[in-house]
Amino acid sequence: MKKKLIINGKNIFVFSETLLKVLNELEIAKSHNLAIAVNEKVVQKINWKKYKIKSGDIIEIVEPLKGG
Amino acid sequence: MQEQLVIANKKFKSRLFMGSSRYPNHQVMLDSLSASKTEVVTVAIRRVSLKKYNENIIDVLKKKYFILPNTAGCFTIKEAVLTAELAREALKTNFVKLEVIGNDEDLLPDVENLIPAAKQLVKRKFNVLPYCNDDPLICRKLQDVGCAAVMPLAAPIGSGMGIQNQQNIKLIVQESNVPVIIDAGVGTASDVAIAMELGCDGVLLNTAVAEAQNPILMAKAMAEAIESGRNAFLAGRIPRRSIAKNSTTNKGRIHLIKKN
Repeated sequence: MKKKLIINGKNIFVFSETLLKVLNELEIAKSHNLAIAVNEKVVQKINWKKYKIKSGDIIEIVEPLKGG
Repeated sequence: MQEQLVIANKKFKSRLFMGSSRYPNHQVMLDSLSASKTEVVTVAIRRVSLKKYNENIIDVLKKKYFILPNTAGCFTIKEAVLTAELAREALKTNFVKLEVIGNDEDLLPDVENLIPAAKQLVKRKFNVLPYCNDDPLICRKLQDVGCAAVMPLAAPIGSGMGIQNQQNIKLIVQESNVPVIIDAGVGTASDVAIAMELGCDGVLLNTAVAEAQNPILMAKAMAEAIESGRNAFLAGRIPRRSIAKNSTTNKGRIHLIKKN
């Protein structure tokens, strides 16, 4: 069953059960500079594989970019 | 040899911190950073694109520089703290350049939110380098909550106007027990030299180099200004006088006598 998530401010429907699978499903390159927060809490990279997502979760997926 | 800059037990040979934004292209940025002799390069934390792959140069920068993430664009304590936490996870660093701004137009620090955000981050074991106003009282408060340095602006971000309130910067330097890094508003090398002559411990800049007509040459000028300004500060300048004082003695000069 599809889950409705808010990822980086957008409504997105996914089948995946875990954070890591969401990245795969959305074809987000798993750069080692990525960082993820679910409902305003950082989820460490080592926990992506087992972290279960649920409908309504608000997810921020970020990376460092050029900045001043 | 000059003493090194130390922030939260981390030693830096260069006192120039450089931003990585607004360069015409990646190569000019890399060449400019190299010419600046900087060790510290700032980066922002931004949402990944869900549509396409973005070329990311961070891995290249990480190999050569100490990466200082910022919380640019954060308007609230919550946004700034979460951005810092994400930066720590992404880059495995406890250092953060803390920015909490009031609005998108003047980009001035919102100190009412900046101080509690700094306090929260210090509590979470961050080494906090806050971008703040050129206000001695605010800098003292940031120091009191445990910031590792204070980073007063010279002038608004990207304005290139140089240090607008030298007296305040001098007071901040005199009163501070932590390094003082001028952040934002620098336009050219003389601005950097003035900051260093006032006793600042370093300068963080971006636009002045990235948008110069020749960024690489400007980066070199900035590196030289850092060194010259620091040397002048350490050497101790002469006091300013309101009247002239001859540098050559009058003793022994010819003195013509008028014939009648």
